[in-house]
Amino acid sequence: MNTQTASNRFTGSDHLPHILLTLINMIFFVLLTSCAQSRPDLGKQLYREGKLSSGESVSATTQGDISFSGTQFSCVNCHRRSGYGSSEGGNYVLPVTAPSLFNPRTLDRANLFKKMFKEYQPKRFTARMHMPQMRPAYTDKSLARAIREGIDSAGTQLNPLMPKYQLPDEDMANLIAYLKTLSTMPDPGVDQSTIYFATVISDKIDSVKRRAMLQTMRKFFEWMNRDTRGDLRNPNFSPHYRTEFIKAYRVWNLAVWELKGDPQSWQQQLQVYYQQQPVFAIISGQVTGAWKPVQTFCENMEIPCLFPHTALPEIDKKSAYSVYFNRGLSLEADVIAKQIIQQQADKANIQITQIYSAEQEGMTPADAINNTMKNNNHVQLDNYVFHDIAELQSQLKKLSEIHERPDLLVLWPGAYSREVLEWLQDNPTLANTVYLPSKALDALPQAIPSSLKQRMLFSYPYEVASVQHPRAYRVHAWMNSRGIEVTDKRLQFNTYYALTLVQYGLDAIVDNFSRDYLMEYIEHEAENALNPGTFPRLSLGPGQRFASKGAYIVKLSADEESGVIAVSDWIIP
Amino acid sequence: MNKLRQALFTRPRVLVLIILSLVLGAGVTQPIAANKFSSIQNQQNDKPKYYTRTRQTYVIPEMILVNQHGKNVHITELLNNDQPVLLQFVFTTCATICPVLSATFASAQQSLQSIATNYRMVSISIDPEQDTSQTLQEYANRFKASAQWTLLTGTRDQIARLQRAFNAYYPGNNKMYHLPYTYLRAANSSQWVRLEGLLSTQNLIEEYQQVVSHSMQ
Repeated sequence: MNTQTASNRFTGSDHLPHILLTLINMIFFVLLTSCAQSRPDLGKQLYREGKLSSGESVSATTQGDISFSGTQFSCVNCHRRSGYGSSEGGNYVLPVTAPSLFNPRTLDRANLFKKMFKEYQPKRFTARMHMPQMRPAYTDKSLARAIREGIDSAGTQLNPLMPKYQLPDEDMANLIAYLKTLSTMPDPGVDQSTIYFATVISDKIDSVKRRAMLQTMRKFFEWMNRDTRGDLRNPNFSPHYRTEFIKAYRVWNLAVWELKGDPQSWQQQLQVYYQQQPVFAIISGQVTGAWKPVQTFCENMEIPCLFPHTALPEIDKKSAYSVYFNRGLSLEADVIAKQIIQQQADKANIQITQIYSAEQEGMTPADAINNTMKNNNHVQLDNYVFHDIAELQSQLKKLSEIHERPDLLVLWPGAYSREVLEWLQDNPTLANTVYLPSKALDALPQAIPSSLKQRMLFSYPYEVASVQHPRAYRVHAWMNSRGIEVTDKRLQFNTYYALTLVQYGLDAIVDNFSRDYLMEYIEHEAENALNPGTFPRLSLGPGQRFASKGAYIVKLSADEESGVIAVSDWIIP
Repeated sequence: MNKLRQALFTRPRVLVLIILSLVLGAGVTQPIAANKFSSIQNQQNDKPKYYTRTRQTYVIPEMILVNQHGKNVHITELLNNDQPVLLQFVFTTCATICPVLSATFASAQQSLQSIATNYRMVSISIDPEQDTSQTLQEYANRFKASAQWTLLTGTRDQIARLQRAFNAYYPGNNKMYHLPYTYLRAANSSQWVRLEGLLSTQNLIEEYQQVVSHSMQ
């Protein structure tokens, strides 16, 4: 009876079913096209900033009952830019890259090796790492369920740390579309056999400093590659676990990108170098003046720019690819300002005279001092700027002719350290106290009158010589045994630090060649025991860009040999 | 058996010894049990909990730290007084667990008021060189911290000493391996409840309720 009715419907002259079918088809078509129109760019915005396509902040609940909205709990916080996840505080955050989400979970010990065996994690974490928790590949539907309800594609409840997001369908589609693009292939600068790096050096860099850095780098690359060759020669000889990592081995290739002429043309020069051979990261480097053109290039091209030797880094909170040892001259200025305010706290009137060179090396710290002091009613600050030696001399002369000797003189000599120090040598009683940047220590004249010595103070954002770090000895031995001439210890040790951090970073990311993943590793591990003793402490964290945060105020020691002595604690402005 | 009975009743000294050893034994085992990890997950509550609780006594070293307003704070004055205290170690650039730790504080602020009004919340930065008082103020604003929530920074040595005092120092000298701890202390008490793991708002409120009511008994 039923069959009869049904067949009647389809064979009958009534057109209603056809119309219905057409309608259903249309709905499907609309649905399909709307899916096809999902916007990975908006998904990226949601992933990184927690912002919905409507412009509003995403809302979610974590730990069962903590509701929030906004960027604090956007995906990127835990899963990171790379999508490879993280491990923090005994919590393992699963990877959400496209290859991991849209494939069944596979067990790859090489990828888990660091988390399983090399991290200081509680037993709970180690136990979690040994629980495979297999699951099938996510579909769009099961992924949406995971994001909204915290249930994975195998039906298992995810850790309550994973927030349950309230996402409109459109935003969910955008997010999934973005996740399908996340870390799908290796970043440029690496192929099956080689990983390419560059360092940047501009003309006018002192030849000793240039050679010191390049020789350290070349030797490091040479020895890395020797080790790699040795390991690859016998790939199946693996008494322990080396064979599992053979897929990650690459020969390291170093290009030296020489920049010439006007800094405004540097970005274009870098572009040309990059087109010839893309690099995975830029390590170390020295330029005259500000590092900004290189940073802009690195940020635009999304290339890690790791620990250049610069006193003028670009301070930009949004930067994702540049890390520095410290804030350079602006840090030194902030430390001097803090020291002055602390030392003169009991005075109703603090008189400061500041003389600075019109180059960026003079203006950046002078601006920082002006900024700190402008709201301080107790401070009277007089500024003198100079463009060349003649003007500098006339400014200093003017100063020495002032009847009353200035109490505090802050000098930012830029490229004129030698000239400034020579003038001070001839006029040792120019001011009661003279503050100078650490760089001036490199230009000290042979004999400084003791009357001047006791008046001079320097900002010193490094470790003082009296402290020995355990790793310093090892780094020195490494350099000696490889025939590296140590002509500029700090520069060479810092270069070595950057290189070892990259080496350990690549070890950790195995063959997941993502620049973001490398950056995340560097942020995570910068404070491990690799500090060669050049700074009291080097440490980063997610989003931190400057590894060392303070400076000492130092004076010259009475005898010639012992260099400088700290007269303050480590000051963090 | 008869011999045993005989021994117990004819030689009262044996009986006394047995009773004494039982009493002493219980006395010894009780504090040990209290210090042992008691997994909360196995308790009768309806929802599973993902943290462990222990009771501890800590000696807090005297030191002056700086709060989010740039003012000096004597840590012992802040922590040893007639206010109930809730304390966590966090850092502001921490991406995974600290936002959750602080969000638990943030979302519990109102409810805690109704239990015991004069509580003090304390978040201590374990990345003090990065987290200046200004940075802490921004962090406090992000979490809509009330006036009862103090955020502290200091020197690295001070913070390390404090972490050691609370047995919260991270291994490997790398803050990225720090663990999520929340410490609760009733007013005028030297006993702390140490919770390891991430809490829900409800977890924190219940634990706080327990700590406060315990002290009132």
